[in-house]
Amino acid sequence: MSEREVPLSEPTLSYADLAKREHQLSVIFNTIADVTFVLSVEDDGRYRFIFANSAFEKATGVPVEKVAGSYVSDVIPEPSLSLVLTKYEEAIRTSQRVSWLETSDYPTGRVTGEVSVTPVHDEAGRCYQLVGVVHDLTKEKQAEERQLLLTEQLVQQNSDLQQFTYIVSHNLRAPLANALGFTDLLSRLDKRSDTFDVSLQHLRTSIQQLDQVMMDVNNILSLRDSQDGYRPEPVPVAAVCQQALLSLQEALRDCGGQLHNAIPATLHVAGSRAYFHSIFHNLISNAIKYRSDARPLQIDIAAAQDPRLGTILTVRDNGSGFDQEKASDNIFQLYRRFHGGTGTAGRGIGLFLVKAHAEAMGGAISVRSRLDEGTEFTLHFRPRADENLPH
Amino acid sequence: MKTYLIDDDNLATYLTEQLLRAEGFSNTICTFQSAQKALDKLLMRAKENLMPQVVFLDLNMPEMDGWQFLDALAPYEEELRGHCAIYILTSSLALADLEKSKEYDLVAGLIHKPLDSGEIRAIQSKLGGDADAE
Repeated sequence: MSEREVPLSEPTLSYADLAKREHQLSVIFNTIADVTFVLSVEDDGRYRFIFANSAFEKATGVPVEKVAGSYVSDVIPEPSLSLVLTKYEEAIRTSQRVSWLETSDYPTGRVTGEVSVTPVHDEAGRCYQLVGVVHDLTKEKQAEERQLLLTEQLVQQNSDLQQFTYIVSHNLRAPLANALGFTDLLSRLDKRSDTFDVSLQHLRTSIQQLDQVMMDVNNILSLRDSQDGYRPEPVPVAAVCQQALLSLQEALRDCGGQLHNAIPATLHVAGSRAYFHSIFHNLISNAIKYRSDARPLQIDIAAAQDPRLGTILTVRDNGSGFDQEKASDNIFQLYRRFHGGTGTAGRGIGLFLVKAHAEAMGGAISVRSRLDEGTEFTLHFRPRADENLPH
Repeated sequence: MKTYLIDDDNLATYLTEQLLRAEGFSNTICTFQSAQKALDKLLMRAKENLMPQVVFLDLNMPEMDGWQFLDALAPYEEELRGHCAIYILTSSLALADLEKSKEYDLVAGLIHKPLDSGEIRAIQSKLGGDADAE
């Protein structure tokens, strides 16, 4: 305890009585589940712990013996420190109890609590101590965050499904309407005319397109199903990228393009080999498909690692790009196409699959593009992504 | 009747063109795979007073879609009114598209693909019925 004498109402108590009372107080303090501490307000304006109960140690992982006598600035980490110091000053200035919600990272993990400090004044009205209580809300906070995350995921999934249904119905309807129209037209045409032959061929093509949409739907649904039994393995991404390139090598050579794969051979990312293969295959084949005629195609694939952010893979090209403002996040939507014209026009399923595969591995994908300059896809895998994978 | 078909799906434009021909609707049909190109051409022709009397417009197209085409035409509404009837021809059955089409004064109607002879005749009679036979 502090050397400062606490004024006692019963000056006749003996030393043994005092010791007994102190023991009782300390038992009470240490059985309280809320973190409780007393700070001495030093003359130099600093704050020193003079007491902390065992709940303090339990919540923060800092031993009580180490806390008592230490300065606040040596125990509480930034950025919480700056916050608590302004709160202490407020309590002293207003002579009132101040409380706030606080989240701090301690050795035992992230702790969220409702903190309150109450100033204690001496006879001259000067604040010489602060009594602090932290009501630990970590569990409640975690439950709340889990709930929020779950709700967000559900809302997202629901809107994805609605979008999926809408898109599929639309894309089934288009070839179906053509097929209907051609059967109508065929019945009215001269069987020996060229138009009859062409229309019959077009009818066939329409039905094949219809079949293709059904196959796409089947592929996408089976991808969703297989996520239940999915277990991540360490994938050597550089090698998988080279494999994906094999089948595209000819197309790349034919257009005079160059690909530089700077991913370190030792880099492994937890995920699925087949998904990474699909991601690289789709991104490289897109880069080839939408290259610029104005310059030889250059594709750069690179990886960066950050202990906090995880692994970041980038696939960049100097192709024709697209107007990001017009496209926004629609680029990853099923059957969404951004390049008109014939020949190179895609079906609009590649990027949808890339996104679905990246997300199935707990990753995320984003894109930056400028018209006539090029496109850069960024894949982001959090550290220990395996923990975040759906099981 | 001078007619524009705007649709990125070349099977659909072939079909519509043949159906129109079979009904003797028009013998001057221009097809466009890109709404932007159709827009440029239409505005150029409008200056020469040679704009199409009928436009069949698809909605779902890359780059410029049907709605964007209509938005781009909005400043020329006065010149086009009464001369150029735009029909949306879409495979979409979405009610939202039908509702939205009503917001555009230039849109004479929304037709679900495929175009059939009944609808072709209805347009013919609405536009004066002076269709030029093949």
